[in-house]
Amino acid sequence: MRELTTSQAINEALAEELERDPRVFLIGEDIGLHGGAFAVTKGLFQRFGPKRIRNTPISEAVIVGAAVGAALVGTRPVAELMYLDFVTLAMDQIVNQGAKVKYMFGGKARVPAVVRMPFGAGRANAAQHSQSLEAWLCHVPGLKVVMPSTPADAKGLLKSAIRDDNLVLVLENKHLYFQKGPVPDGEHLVPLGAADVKRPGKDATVVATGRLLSAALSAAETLSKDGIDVEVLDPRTLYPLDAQAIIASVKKTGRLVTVHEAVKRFGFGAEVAAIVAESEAFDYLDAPIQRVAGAEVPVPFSKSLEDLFLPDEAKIVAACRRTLA
Amino acid sequence: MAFEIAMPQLGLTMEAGTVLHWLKRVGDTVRKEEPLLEIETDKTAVEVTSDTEGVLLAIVVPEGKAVPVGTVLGWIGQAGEAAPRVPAAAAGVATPRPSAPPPVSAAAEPAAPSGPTGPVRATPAARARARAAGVSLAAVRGTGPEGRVQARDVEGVRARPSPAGAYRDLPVAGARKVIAERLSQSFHGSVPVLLTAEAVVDRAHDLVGQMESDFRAKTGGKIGYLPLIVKAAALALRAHSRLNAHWMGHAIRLFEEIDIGIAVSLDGGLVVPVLRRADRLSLAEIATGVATLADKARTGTLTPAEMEGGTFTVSNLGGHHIGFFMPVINPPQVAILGVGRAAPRPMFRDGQVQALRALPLSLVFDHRAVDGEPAAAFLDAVKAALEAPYRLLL
Repeated sequence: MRELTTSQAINEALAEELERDPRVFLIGEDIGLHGGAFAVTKGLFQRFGPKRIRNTPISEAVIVGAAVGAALVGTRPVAELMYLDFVTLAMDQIVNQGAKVKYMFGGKARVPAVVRMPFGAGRANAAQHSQSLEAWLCHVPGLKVVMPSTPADAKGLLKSAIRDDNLVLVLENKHLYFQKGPVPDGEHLVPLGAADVKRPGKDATVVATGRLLSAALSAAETLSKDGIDVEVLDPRTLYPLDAQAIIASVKKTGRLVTVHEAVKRFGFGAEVAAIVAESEAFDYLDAPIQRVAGAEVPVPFSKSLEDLFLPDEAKIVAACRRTLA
Repeated sequence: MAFEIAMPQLGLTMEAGTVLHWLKRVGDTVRKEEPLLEIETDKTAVEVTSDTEGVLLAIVVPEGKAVPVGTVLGWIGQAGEAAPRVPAAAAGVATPRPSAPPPVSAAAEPAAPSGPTGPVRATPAARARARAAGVSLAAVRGTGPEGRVQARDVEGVRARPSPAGAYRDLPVAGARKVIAERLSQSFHGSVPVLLTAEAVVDRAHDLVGQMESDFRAKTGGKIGYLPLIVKAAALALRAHSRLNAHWMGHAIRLFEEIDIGIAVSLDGGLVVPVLRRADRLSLAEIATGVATLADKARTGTLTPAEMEGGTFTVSNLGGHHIGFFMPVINPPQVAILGVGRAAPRPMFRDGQVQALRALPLSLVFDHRAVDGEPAAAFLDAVKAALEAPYRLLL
């Protein structure tokens, strides 16, 4: 299978959807001739022109507000915020407008829009350009939240998000943009709300998201040398979450480790742990659940401190060993 | 105001005790003098009763944990009252006992800091499997972190084959556990040597027969050989004091007083109450003393004080058809006398084979403390006293 970077895979998804559906258009900062901060929209301005690839002033409220408004009147906008950190400036447009309209109008109005947001630490971008804020967004009814971990999933999930009739927030880890992976030729759709077992195993379930999926797979390889067989599950969509896949996996392994880059408290891992504890998988748990997550501080600028902040393969291995003690 | 429950000191030598079972759970109402928990010392297992009434607020020391004398085990107070928090360092000395020696580090772990502990620490998976298999979690040894019972531990219990189909497990706990530990410590930690001798006891037999009716009339009890044997041993110990001793490791402690332990078999195990100053007691006093101690043993009313401090032990299997046998020394004592059944045997006397009544005597001594010759001399003295029983009346 051919190999693409995540950036190329997303570019391909955008081009295919722009080609397929004339209602689709892109809106964001520097996405035109510049091709976006992470080269995701490279070449699209030249191909689809300024009406469908729209540059905006530096205002996240404008970008998301315009996208929500345009979606309400029949288009399918795909907005880009340069960093997830800046979603704070667009929270009213997302939380109070985009997430609520369909409910408050009894389903007569819809917001078929996508907001793509690069996130994550590990690039010495400091505290205001490194956060993982997915838990905020998952908490709001009316939103769907997607977090791909491979180029193929990034493409397939984005295409499904563009075709979905709800406001879908796509969180893309910055490190993954330039990592290559196999992407199928032709039409490739990944349904929203479907988890993927990236590595089957029987001894412990590791639920890992974003960039840490590959760290979890490396950890599983390391542990396999000691005869420990770890199952690595990628939820891919954080909401609606494929709870049944996680429950089925924990029923098989009896042990759960959650892994994300966001800080631990009130995080996605806590939600996964609670879902398992509430489910029929409870009676299969044979060890306390372990959560691997970012340190509970603003992400440090210093590279050495940032490395301490970040979860990594060693921390995942250690958590797996604790749960298997 | 909350009252502490402290590890009691049940004897002068008790330094630490183990919490065997809590008979009350946190939140239970407790009446004064009601049993609260069972503890185990290196000698016995006893129930600890409540000095006060109220509600069990907290269990500080969980089951299975050994702590020094005086350690706070839990708290009793009014319903809704909070249990005081006990710092781990202070827990071991919460109730100072000036006379108590410093805690032995091997037996004494610091108490858990505070707070109630649940009944059994087990994972949900272990609980579900135990439920399904009808296995009691309390009977499963947890191998997970902090002793947590995991599914594999329950599997272990279920997987054990039952060769004859039905069987039952008697828990190794309480008295049985104490016996097991002390006897293996004795057997593997000493150098036991067995000497045997037969005492010709026709005259002693006659003496017992003559005393029988008087004794019965006086006490309502029965007198057998045992008082004669205890007295003979006690008198022999006066002359052979190396056997009236404790092995202390750094020293052999010889005792002035002769306090003889009498092994008593019970359903739950063996106890060894002590008959004090046996060398100074009359045969009748020995007979009633032994009967009283045996009664107390059977009704479970022996106090720890009545079971400690023995300097020598007599183990009597004469009620059965037993000849010589090898009893196990009761540590820290250095010798034990085993008594078999007296029976007529063909023996030479005055060049003739005669039927004489022979009593098998088995002396086991610890060769670390006593050499063979003094041990043999002691056994000779016992035999001589039994064969000339008037000496027991002097």
